[in-house]
Amino acid sequence: MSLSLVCQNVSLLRRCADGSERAILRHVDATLNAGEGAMISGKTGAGKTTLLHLFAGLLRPSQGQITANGQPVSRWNTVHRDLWRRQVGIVFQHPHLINDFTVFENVILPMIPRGTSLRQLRKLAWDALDTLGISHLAKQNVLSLSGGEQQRVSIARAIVSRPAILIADEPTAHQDDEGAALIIEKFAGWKLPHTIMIVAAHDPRWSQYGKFTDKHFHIENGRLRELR
Amino acid sequence: MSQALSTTAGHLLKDSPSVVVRRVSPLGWSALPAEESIRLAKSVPGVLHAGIRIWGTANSPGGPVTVFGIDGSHRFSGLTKSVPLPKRGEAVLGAGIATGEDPDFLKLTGHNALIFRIIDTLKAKTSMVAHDMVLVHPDDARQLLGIAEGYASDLIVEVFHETEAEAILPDLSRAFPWPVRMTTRNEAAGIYTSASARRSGIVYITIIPGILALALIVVGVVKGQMVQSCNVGLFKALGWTTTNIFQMQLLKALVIGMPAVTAGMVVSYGLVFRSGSSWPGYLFFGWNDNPPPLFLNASGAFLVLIEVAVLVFLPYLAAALWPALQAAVSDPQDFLES
Amino acid sequence: MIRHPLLIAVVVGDLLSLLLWFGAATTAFQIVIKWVPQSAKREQIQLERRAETARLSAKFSLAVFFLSTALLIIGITNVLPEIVPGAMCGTGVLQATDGLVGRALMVRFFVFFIMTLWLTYEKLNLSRPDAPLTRYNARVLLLALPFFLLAVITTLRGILRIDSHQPVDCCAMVYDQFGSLATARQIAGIPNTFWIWTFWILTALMLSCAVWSLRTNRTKGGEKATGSLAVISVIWVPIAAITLVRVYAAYFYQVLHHHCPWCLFLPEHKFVGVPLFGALIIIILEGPISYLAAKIAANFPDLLTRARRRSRLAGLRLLLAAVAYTGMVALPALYWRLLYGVWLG
Repeated sequence: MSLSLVCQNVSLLRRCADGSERAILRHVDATLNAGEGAMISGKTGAGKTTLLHLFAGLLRPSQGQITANGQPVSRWNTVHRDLWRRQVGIVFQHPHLINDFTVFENVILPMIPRGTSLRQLRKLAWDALDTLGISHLAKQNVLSLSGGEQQRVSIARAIVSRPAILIADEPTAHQDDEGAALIIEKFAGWKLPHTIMIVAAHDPRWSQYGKFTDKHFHIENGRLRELR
Repeated sequence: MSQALSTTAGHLLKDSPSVVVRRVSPLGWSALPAEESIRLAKSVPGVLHAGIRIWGTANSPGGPVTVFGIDGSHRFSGLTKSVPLPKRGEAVLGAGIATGEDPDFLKLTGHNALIFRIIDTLKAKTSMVAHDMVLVHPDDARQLLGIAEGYASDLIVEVFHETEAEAILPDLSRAFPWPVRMTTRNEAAGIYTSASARRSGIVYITIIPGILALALIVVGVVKGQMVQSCNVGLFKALGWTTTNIFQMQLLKALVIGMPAVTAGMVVSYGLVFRSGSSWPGYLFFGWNDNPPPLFLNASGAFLVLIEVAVLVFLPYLAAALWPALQAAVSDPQDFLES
Repeated sequence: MIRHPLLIAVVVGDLLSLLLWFGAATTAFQIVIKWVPQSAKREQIQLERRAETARLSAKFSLAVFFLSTALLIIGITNVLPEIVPGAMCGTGVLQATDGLVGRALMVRFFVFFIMTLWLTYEKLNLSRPDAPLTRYNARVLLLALPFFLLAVITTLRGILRIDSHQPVDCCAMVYDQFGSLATARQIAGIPNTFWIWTFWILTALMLSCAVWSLRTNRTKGGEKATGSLAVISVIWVPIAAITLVRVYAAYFYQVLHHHCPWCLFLPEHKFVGVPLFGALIIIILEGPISYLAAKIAANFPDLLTRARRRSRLAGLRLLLAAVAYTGMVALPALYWRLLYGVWLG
């Protein structure tokens, strides 16, 4: 069965401080197949990040389910979701790097528990760093990097495992035009017949440089609609 | 050290008699008639061999010593096989005997006073049981200790199978017309073992608060250095499982703990088996002199390893891993919402 | 009480493993009362995470408990007889504990059975992403706790009773069990011959059941076969132990009527008690597990393949252990018979 990621009638409710429940997402339906790239746009606070986290298996929906290759991954127990997440590369809105580690150590982090040989690990890490033009920063501690550099490190960390599903939340937010153009160009190259790519951005440079997405979704007040 | 003491005692005593019978009187020990005792002992079913021993205590320039009359009939191959049998006027000394001014002669005073020419010394490895022993000719021993001809200090009995020694004690006791006190080989070895175990057990009990204190320190240090909850959540977001995180903490604990335990064990074994220093014996057992040379055997060493693992290493691991388990409960949701 | 380092190590190991199991049991209790699978609520997510750490804690506890039990048995068989006056083997040591340590050992083995069951179910549970056995297995974990506590307390009480100044009469305990040679050849008033025949018939039955369960596990007959195997193995093990001690041990001791199980663990008998009783333990564990795994397969269709595989593995382990045991028991007897032309006794 080829790769597919399906969102079926997904809703997510969150408890507020006063005890009431607020709907972050309401009855979201979306289907993504292998080889497709999707862009999700919407205002700040619309629910883009939450939807991406649901796709990545980081959250469990209050209603509905998310299936990957027909398997209801959102309903799986935590151990199996953690293991499934090894197929997913995530670029978070904030880089979320480990401050005590160097750039290289942050990049190889997802690969350590997978039993990869040291040689292969190093090769994958250097490939990822070279792709994003930050090899010269490998031995530096991440605290000494700029916001844009840290963002590139988090992208390198996401792609080091050559994931089947790549999810990116505002990957160019801290980049200048040149950096943004490089990253968008790389994302276009990572869209392969056997992968799924989902990018959430309200950066207008994506529409300027990136016409590789097959589907465009817009999210507003927790509801998702596909733009044609 | 306690394990080594009991192993060495067992090793040295394995050639000792199965049962030793001593006559008891209101004044303490008394000599028993040699021929009659042998005859009575041999009348008990299960007794293979019975013989007499001539021994007692006498004074030497260095203090009291144990005098033993030995001839070719005695089976102390473990202690005496490498030394010549003393003739009349000759003596073989244990490792701890002080001779006085003249190193070639030893004056002993008991019922009578006799001077012996020293012909040899027992091996150092026997010193745990024979450090104060003086081997002399049986006739010299009788004269020195005042034991009349035809009498002996005690009777030794040999049986076919070691386990029979305990079984024949009641019959042996009934065979003699006078009260006797009997000691088996196991009992003799057990005296060493229980005494050393008792002392070392007390030491372990006093060490336990120290181990608990170490555990608390480890908990504090690990908590301080612990991968924070939000980092654990990040790890899990990147595909680490709780087991992976636990394994990482276990590896960290082992990297520190294993070399520490190994170094501790090496030093301990060095102090017990190779030391020339007396402070461990003084500290743990109250010995004033250097400890005797001790035998190291595989089963004893293995047992000590397991004891140390359970008493020291496992509490350390538990202290190091417990905070890790608590922190590993984090979910990616925690770090996403932090 | 004697303060032997080995006994202190046993107590420390027991307490450590009890603490770890108790920690896991706290989460197990929460699972039993609050588990709502697939819920998105934060409490459920937290509980799922705590279930993971509880699992690790329980496994660590099992390992430590195993180690302290092994240490206790080594102590009873080879270390403490040197200290307890009059004791030549574990029989004398147990006599010095007023039988408390003997009872503690029985409870410990029962705890091991429950722990092994928990471990088996947990492996099956984790094979499915929806973890269908979580609540069920939490109950099994809680079930072990009171017995665990009992085992630890009884062991401690037994250890405290040991007195290095109070002699025991090891041989009297063994030889005073029978008043005459005629009664020495009986067990509970029934001649040894009956028990020997019963043992061999049950052995043949158990081996046949094991083969039957391996062949039919893929079909509906699997539950019946494994059920029969479980029942027979539970009956067989005590009879095997009794005939070993009362009849076949003579071929190892080369002494008649020495009905002592602990002497089999001594170095002079090449520690033959370890593989013999080890095989019995494997059989009594794997027999019921074979059946219980087959039941899981029947009641949880999602776990069918893995549960059946586990059931087959249990059957295979039982079969191998039974063959090894009967070989170890029969060969010395046959050798004696060939050498001297008679059976011992």
